[in-house]
Amino acid sequence: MLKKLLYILLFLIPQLTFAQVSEKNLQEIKVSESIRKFVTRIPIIKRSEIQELQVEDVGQLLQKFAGINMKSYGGLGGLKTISVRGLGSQHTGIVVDGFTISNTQTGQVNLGQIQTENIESISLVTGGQKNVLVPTSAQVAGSVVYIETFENSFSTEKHKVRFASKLGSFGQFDNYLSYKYSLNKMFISAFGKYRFADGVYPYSFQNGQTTYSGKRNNNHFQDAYGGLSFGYRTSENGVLSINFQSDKSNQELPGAVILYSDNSFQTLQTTNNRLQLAYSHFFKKWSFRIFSNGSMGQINYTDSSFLNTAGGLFSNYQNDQLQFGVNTHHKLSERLNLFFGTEELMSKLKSDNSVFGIPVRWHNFSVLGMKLNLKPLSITGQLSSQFVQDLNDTLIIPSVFKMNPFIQIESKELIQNLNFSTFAFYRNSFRMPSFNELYYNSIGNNKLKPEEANQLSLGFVLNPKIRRLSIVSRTNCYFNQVRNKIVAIPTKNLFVWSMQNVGKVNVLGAESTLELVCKFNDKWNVNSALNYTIQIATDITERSTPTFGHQVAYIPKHTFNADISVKRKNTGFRWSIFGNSLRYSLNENISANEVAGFVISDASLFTSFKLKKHDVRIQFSCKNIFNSSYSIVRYYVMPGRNYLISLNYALN
Amino acid sequence: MRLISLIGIVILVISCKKEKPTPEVVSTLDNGMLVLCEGLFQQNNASLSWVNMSNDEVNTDFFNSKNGRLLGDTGNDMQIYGSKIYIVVNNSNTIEVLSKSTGISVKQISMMNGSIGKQPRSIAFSGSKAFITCYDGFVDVLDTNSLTITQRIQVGSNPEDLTVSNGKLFVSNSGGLNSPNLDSTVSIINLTTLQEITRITVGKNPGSIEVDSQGDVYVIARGNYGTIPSRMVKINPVSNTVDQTFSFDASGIERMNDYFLVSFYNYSNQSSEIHLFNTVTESIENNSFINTNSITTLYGVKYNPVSDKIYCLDAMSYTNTGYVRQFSSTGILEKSFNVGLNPSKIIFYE
Repeated sequence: MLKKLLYILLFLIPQLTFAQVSEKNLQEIKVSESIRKFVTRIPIIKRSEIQELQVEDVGQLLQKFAGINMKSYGGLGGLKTISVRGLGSQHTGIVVDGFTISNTQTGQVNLGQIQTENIESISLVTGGQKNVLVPTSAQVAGSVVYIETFENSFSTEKHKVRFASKLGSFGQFDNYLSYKYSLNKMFISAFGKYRFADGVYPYSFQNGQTTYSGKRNNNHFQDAYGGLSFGYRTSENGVLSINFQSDKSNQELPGAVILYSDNSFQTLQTTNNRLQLAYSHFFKKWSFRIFSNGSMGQINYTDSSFLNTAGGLFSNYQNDQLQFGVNTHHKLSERLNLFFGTEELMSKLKSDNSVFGIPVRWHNFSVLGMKLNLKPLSITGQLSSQFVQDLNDTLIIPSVFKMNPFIQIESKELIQNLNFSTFAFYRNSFRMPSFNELYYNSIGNNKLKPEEANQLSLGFVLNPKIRRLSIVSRTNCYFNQVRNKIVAIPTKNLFVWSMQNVGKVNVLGAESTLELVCKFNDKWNVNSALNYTIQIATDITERSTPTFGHQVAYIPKHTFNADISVKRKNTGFRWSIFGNSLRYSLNENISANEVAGFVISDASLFTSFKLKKHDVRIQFSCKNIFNSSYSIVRYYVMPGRNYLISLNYALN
Repeated sequence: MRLISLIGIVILVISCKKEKPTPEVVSTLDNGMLVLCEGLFQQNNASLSWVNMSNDEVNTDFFNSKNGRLLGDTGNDMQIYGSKIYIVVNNSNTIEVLSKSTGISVKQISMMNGSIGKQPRSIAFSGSKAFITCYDGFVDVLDTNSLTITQRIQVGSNPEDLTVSNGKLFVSNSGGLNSPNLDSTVSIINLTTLQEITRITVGKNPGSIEVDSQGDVYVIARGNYGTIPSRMVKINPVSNTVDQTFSFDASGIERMNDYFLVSFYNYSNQSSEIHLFNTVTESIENNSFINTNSITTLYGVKYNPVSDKIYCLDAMSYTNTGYVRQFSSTGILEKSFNVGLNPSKIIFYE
């Protein structure tokens, strides 16, 4: 009752809104020693490279990692989600500056609407966490994407400025400005971003033996972001951070290209406000972090071509979330560390759609774990629990309680000069059904069980340095199982699909990454990164069905990336190649369901100037240089050849 | 280096696409059947399958192999009239008119109202005219000689199916897009004046509509898939009134001489039934006329009066390719043909 009262009170506070902060710098100083050795296990992309890649959003950036399969519906701001190692997108947690970003309504975050201009680093964690004080909700996820931003980090410089402006094909215009003021013990920062695009790009694809071409219409997009952050060092060992962020988007949804009738009238407007607070303290023997964050999100969907008597579909949703938690880390001895965390997430969805009800969820995440550092290896083990209670008006949904183990064994450097180390982990995790899957009109099914995943992974890293050449090579092999997979199937008629726990999938995969940095002399250097992923994801739901043993829809067997950047002093050239083998649009592996494989190349030229503390950088890119016609999701055609010019300025 | 060669192999794998041989396409259609497969909404995978009855071979890409392009999105109805086949492609907003003997497209009629699609659903014929229900609340009149839309007749909301009897057109108004506020009427149109005479209430969510050998009209009021069950309703075509509502579950009607094959698919337990309904005595003669054990998801029933065979359309799991299952007139399974996604309509060739 008390919990409920507190919840109601918190939601009554008008416009209580929420965001993201970090105290990473301090954490890095304190815990980095033990982490450094294993950092190579975790793939990371840093700011300098993100700039060169000229991606539009975090979705495109994550495509650069091995083991990731990005699903994009095309266009600036359009829906992008990722599947890591064959698990659904809802198994991946997104942590920005130490706070989990989630959406209980859809269960997935649109990565097409997370900006990259302010990212200092992005990393993908599939096994054990790199930091002991991350939110519990991230520690229990199947995998986690960590993002750290410029706005939420301490700096030694008093004034720092970042500015980025982009001009691109199809009416794209993008501007970002951020300022950070730092003193000894504190910083304060503010940023703003605005972008828009017409999105009217031409397309053509093969329709039988003929060519079908047109222009992508109803694809206009605009969004704006703004944020304020504050960080304060209370003493040598304590950090307080507060952050507020707000964003608004207004977009048209072009939908799939429908043959002979390509007209869409759907629009989507979103508003999000987030407020985030955290305090961390590092004692000699133990450390802790407490945090709270809340978000208020609004979604407005319209379809003026919907043929009902009201003359269209107009829906409005309000999704509010409040989260708080605590994490502690104890150094019991030189060898033994303990960690503990608990977190409560409350969320509520209201809509003007009477058939949804007003679902409310209380979700507790708890974790207890230890890390044992022995001479040849280190062992991490954790046991987590989750308790989920949903209420929807008068409907009482059975609560969910689950315990999940995780264990990882990492070797120390086995061969010293090669920096060779190996690691293996087993993780058992699950994801809750989203509010849409449970309650939305007749589509939802409130009897859904959580979708479960088991991951078994074995990997090794090589990091030799040979004169001027530095090499990082990462290889992972894994076997994953998905049980009670949540799948939409028609249950009332062909137009009324409903969610059911019917799928079983096994994923056998391997991924390999090779990063080479070669400094020829003071002037010339070459950077390159290659990765390749193979995933055999098979439907093993039922032996008697025609899709038994077939490759699961939209998971390519082969995915690869190749990037090479050649620099002379501050001027250089970059070539990027990204490819997918053929995929199937449905689980039945027949030619009618084939979505063609593709290889896309991007090229860019860049140069930068440095004047004291001022950094100016200009880059020109040509994307999809060979003008390939391709789509990631069938009939969501992607743009052909397009150009982008960008200007970056930094005051450091 | 190993990696680079690996990538090379990948590129090779991608570029070498396997081409599966498809059965030879016949030039003149006979001794077979043409099956319309709806496909899935927004996937442009509506298709025609040609089943060659002399060797039981199936070409699942018939429309494309004849016309060099795809049929479109959501094929909802297919009827034969005169020397032509008319296919209603719902979400592509087109009527594909094909030559009956070759399967080659004569004309693709666009069904747009300005920039908004009319969402055509079903087609019926009388004299030189075709009538097409459109989800925007109209029945479009198509001149079968000029193949142009000549008139629009306003009816109820989201009209689904239509049939002709006694010089009148009976149109079931589903109101499906206003769910949960479904329509429950049938519009009756005078075929001479091309105007709606009256709109009668038959029950929630009217769908499939059929005429029996005596000219009586039967419609299925599909209910709300929940508290209101799906019922067959008889309309008197002379007095334009409801005669009777039958008390058995029903989702589709197919005429078989003086009988109806009334099919019912129960979505809650995935079971199906086919009743044999005598249209003369107006009563059920056999509750399970066909053993439906071999059918996963009953999606439709077709009767071939020439060969006296019954064909059940099996949608399987909707996302897998479906089957046409051939039964003898006494209800014994004889053959199954693997066709495209969600088979829903058949045209027979002797």
